[in-house]
Amino acid sequence: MVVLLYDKTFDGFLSVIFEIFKNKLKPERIEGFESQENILFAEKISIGTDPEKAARVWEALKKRLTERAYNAVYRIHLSGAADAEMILYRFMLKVFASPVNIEENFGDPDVLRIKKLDQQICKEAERIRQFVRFQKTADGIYYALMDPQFNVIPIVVNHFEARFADQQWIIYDSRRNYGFYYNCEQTMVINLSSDKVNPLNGKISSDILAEEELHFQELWKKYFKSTCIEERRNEKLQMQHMPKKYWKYLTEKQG
Amino acid sequence: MRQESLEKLEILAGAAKYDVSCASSGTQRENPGKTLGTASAWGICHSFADDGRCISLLKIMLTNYCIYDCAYCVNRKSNDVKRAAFSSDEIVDLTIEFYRRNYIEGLFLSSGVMKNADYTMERMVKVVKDLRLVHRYNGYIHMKSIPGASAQLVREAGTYADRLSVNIEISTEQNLKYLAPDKDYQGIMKPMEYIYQGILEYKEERQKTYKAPKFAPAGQSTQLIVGATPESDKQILSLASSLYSHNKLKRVYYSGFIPVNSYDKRLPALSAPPIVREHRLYQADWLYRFYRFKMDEIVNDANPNLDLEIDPKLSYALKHPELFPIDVNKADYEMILRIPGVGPRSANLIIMGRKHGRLTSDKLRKMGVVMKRAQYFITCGELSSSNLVSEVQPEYLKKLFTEQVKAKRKPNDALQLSLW
Repeated sequence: MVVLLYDKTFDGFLSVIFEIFKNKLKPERIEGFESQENILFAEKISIGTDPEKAARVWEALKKRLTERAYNAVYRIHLSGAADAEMILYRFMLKVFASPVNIEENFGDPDVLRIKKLDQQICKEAERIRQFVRFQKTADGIYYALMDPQFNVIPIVVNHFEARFADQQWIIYDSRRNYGFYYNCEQTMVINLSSDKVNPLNGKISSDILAEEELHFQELWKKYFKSTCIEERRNEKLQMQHMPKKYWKYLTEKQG
Repeated sequence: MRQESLEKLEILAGAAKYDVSCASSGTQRENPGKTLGTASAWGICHSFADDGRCISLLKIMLTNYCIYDCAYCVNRKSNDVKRAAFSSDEIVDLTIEFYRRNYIEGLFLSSGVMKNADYTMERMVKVVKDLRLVHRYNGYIHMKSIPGASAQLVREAGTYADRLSVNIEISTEQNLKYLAPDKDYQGIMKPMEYIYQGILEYKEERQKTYKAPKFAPAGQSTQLIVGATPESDKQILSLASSLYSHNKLKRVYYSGFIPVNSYDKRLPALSAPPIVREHRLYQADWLYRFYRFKMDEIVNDANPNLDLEIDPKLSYALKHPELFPIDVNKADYEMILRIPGVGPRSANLIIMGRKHGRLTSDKLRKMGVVMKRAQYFITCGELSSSNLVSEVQPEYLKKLFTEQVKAKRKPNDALQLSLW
């Protein structure tokens, strides 16, 4: 069996696809160089990243798919979803084998899989837009910790840049230990190691918070409680829209 | 000071919560420079309260002092409840600070009536004007228009707010007079008309120049209370459909009556709010707006009320077995939308997917069709035709579906019927 190894970048992945078609490879797995899995009798082939080859594959995809679908290819690769590479590979085999656009052939399980996975990813991106809770620090930076299942914060950065253009903010991914810092001019990728953030509830320790921050958290909790109609209490519906896995960093859900 | 603002918030959010509207959609506004806020066309829900309702906007009243004495309202003047009032600066601050923390999508401002309609409206307009002009805030604003407010103030409100709404509350003039003697029907209908005119003019101006100042770009909405008065679903839904078609409303909200003033003998004694009926009305409203049903196909003189046990789409299908089975590989979009168990999303997938090959029940299931329902109403080549609605009795199917629902429902969750 053939296992293809690459550097985990999107260009790297497109280069892998290029080599698959050029050399008629039939991989059973596509993994990062650092993959720990040792598979008996596997033939491992390392594939280097080549921007030109990547660009050719990307242009070919753009010709055959609508914008939504080729962006889905990008999002799914970025997401880090389990088996994302093989799901994309099987999809692209069909895309390039057909003379017409097959992205809407939802009778085909590989095509439907792409659609469903992309929906999940976009849904989680939306959850970030919904459930980020900024805390203001004494030096005026608004900080939020998130723990998404997929790597989706990069997809929503432009939403936050546009909306909070006049304030500095950080949105940090606790699972992948990296984040984005916007300084009112540009956004940078950052790594933080701070003992000022409680990893259990995402809260910043009070000595570096802005003076009025805890008061606004109190007001928000009070509002959350007061706007509920007790006669209509419906926790099932609440959880359906706001799954419990997002509660740990939600200010209004902390006692 | 801090304690005081917490208490005010508790009173004035509690007083505003019976307004069900919370939509923040319908306006796309970019941030013009380094200022605060955007509005996204599809709206964002930032949290969900313990009653399961979305929290998108800071829904708050300027004050809950009110000169009116409407029987169904918790803030009526004869009620002995805690009263409070915000200054406009306090609301502006709260909105901005909540918005900056990504708690909310914007503000929903409403108010009890102080002195008179215009006096109240002026104070509300000041809040939204300050947000837009002083603080350069571009987030969403929904403002309630006070019944009886002058055309000029409604106009001014519309230039700053994304959405305006006037609540009709009671669907017939006669019953409104009975429960809310201080309000008059014209006082409600006139501001709705001003808003409608404002939106029309804005749209015309917009055709001439792209820079025409906006007017309530997210349109207007209203709310109807359900179950406080004896109107039938047909009366409620025909009012709704005329509001959609004549006044071009974006949304009509239905609010199951919550007996806040149980001492008032003009009101029915309810053991609980009529949540199931409210839910059925929303389903009917969706059939009208998104499933291309006509209102008289859903409720009519023969069936003036919606079936509480099954949803209106299934109910329609069971009343019209002659329309089924529908061949998913051939039927047009409108008919596919009428299949119980198929929504707009799976209907689209069906239309697109069948171009590439015949659809089978297995493929339909993967597309998200609820086959447990749909199987009785479709053919797709290989489904057995023995249990189709045209073959088996609709009564039998109704019993089957009702039992499925009952089995899922917890015992204390039983149908809540209103007692007249």
